[in-house]
Amino acid sequence: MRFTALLKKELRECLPWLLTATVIFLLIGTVLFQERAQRNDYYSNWQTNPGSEISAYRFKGSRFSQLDPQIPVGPLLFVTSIGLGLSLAGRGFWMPGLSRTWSFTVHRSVGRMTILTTKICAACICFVIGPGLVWMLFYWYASRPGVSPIPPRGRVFIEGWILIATGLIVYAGAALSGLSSAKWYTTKMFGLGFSSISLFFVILQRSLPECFIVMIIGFSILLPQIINTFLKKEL
Amino acid sequence: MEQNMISQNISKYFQATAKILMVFIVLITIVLILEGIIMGIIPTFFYPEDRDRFLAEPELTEIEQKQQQINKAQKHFLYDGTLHLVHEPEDRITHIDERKIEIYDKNYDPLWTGKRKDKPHSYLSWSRSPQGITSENLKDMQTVTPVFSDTLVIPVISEKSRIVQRWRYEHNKKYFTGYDSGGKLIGYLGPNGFSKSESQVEPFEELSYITAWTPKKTLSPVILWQTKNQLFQINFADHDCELLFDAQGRQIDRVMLNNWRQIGPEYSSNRPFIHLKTKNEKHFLLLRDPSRQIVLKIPQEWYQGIYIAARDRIFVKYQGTKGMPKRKDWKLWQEWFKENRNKAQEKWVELHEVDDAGNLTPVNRLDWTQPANRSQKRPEWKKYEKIQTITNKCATSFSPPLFGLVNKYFAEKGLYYDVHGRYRQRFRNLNIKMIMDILLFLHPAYRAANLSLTLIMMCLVFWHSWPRRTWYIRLIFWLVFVGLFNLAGFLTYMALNHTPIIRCSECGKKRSLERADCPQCGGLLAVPEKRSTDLIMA
Repeated sequence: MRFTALLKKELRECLPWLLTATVIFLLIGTVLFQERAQRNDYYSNWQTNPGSEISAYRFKGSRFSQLDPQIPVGPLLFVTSIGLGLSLAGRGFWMPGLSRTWSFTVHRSVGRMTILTTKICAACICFVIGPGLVWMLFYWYASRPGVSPIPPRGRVFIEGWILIATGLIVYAGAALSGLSSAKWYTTKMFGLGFSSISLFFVILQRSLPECFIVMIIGFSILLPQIINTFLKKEL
Repeated sequence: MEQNMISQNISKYFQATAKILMVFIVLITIVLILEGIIMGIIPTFFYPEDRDRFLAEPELTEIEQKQQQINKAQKHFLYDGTLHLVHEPEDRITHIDERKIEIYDKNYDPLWTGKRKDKPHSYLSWSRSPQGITSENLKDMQTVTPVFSDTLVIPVISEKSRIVQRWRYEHNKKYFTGYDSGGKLIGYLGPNGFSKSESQVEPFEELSYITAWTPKKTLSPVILWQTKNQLFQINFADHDCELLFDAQGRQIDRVMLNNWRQIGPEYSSNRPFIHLKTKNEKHFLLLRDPSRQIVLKIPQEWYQGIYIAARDRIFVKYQGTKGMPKRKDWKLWQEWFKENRNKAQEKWVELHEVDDAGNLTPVNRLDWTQPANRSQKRPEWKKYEKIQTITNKCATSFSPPLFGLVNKYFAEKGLYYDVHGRYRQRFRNLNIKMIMDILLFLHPAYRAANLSLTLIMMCLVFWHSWPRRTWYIRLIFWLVFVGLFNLAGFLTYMALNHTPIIRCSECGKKRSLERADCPQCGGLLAVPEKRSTDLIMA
């Protein structure tokens, strides 16, 4: 009951950022889709000379492609997820420190662990119902017959969720930096720095299992520190 | 209660380990980036204005000049086995057919001079590796980036240059899925050919190489699909997947083509063939018009340049440098190259004819000596390289000594080079490749300086941590940590352990606040005097 009440409170606080991210992603993504659809005819031509060698790189699906959601929407999803992660962490972990309202947050009839859990759950829910739902919508739309010359691959759908998860990594790093009581010129920003390095490694992997392993390593380094710092923080 | 305490202790150590890892990863990244920046920027201030690295070559003797000319000339064979030396002065402006060439005989006596397009002789043209993409390039396409991973999509083109079909390579399933222009599924294409049902299609083996071309009579691409043991020619317009060669477990090492694709006018007089070499050094020739397969009986000791040409007769050209070891013996090859780089080298090229059974008969041979390279580097370039080396040594003095140990191991095992001796690590995993790149370029270049700095860091850590000590094992851990990771380790220690110290009220020596008793005298922390109004302490 208390957990639900706290969760609703957190979601209420996250709502403006969630709506902003969702609207930006939806609007700009739709514009990019429309722009790509107008060029669909262009991508249905293939210029070549008979009796000539072809560079196999011309066969890269993205090069002479097709209306896959990947090209226009992927970078937008990536940036939106990171932005949402930074915003939610800022709202949840930086603002109480700057406005000196940690006492109001923490001194309640529930334990600190419950408070922290509600914050993290609220962030996860925001990622799922914000960029997550819109991404599913875009993917469903691109999979409809007649929209793309060939249906997008299932792997692209999973990769979209990986990009959303990178936002969670940034959220965790920013949360840790917000909770840290060190000076900004010492180790306070190390949480953000580590999440940036993790992000870099996640998008460098060639296989999905390797991606997941890197993400799990990143989370398993950040989460225990967040928990420990929050539980022991003097407020 | 006890279980709670145990679990609390476990989580405490887990988070402590996580914190050390996080801080260390961030700091070592910063240290390595800074090292790379220093190594890249400082030498640029000394970059010579004159791009020419070498002084003018000293005067060669008459014999050496002739040998030099022979060395530089292209060696071409006529159909009857006669050798011509073709010299083409360097000219990047004129079209290739309009360029002036000089033809000489074996003894470098002039035979003819004129434009390339007017040359009176038709030479044998040799097999060559086609341009294409490797399995590594294909795996790179699978990288999860913000623009998502990619794959191959091969189109089928109509006469009006419109795409009517698209065949996508399913990377994890290892076959092609075809769609028409409306996005409707056509079927699947695998090594067993075309099938409408996914359950009937078989997967290809691990891919090695792809090359593609457009035939003369159609616009739809045809591809040569080379796997570990098999070579296929796939024509998507005809839904045809033809098995050209099966190495039956011997693994294909290299594929070279000559007129197989029938592109370009130059090759039209040659019989189409594919020359395959397997990893156990066997050579196969797949001929067309008519179709035949010949196993070439090439001697096992031949390991340098082997090329094939075919018209009515089949020829093998073998060329190389005397004494050069196999590239697979990369260490031997490196030593040989270092020792012989500036010495005269004896080279040869020989022509053999191949009979129907694959036996070789020698036809012609030329031996010559490449004169020693006596050119010397300009002084400013020597200075520049010296500065690069010094900068490298200074910057990498802060690198972890552990890098030096691991780098030495990798270097001795030959893991930095592929089987052809080129700098390309044998590992395929991108993460390991990145680590090996870091080790190769940022390992300590000047071990004495590196170890001295590490020792200084360790002494500083000892001096800092002695009054702050809680457990000896913790002290030893940090000393070893700094000993392995140098500056990054030292900064990590300082970031996590720079706690305040006070003077012990009993012995007057420095002590930390992290333990209740003084590590020197065992005295407890000073307790304030109780006062009557002190509600808590009274």
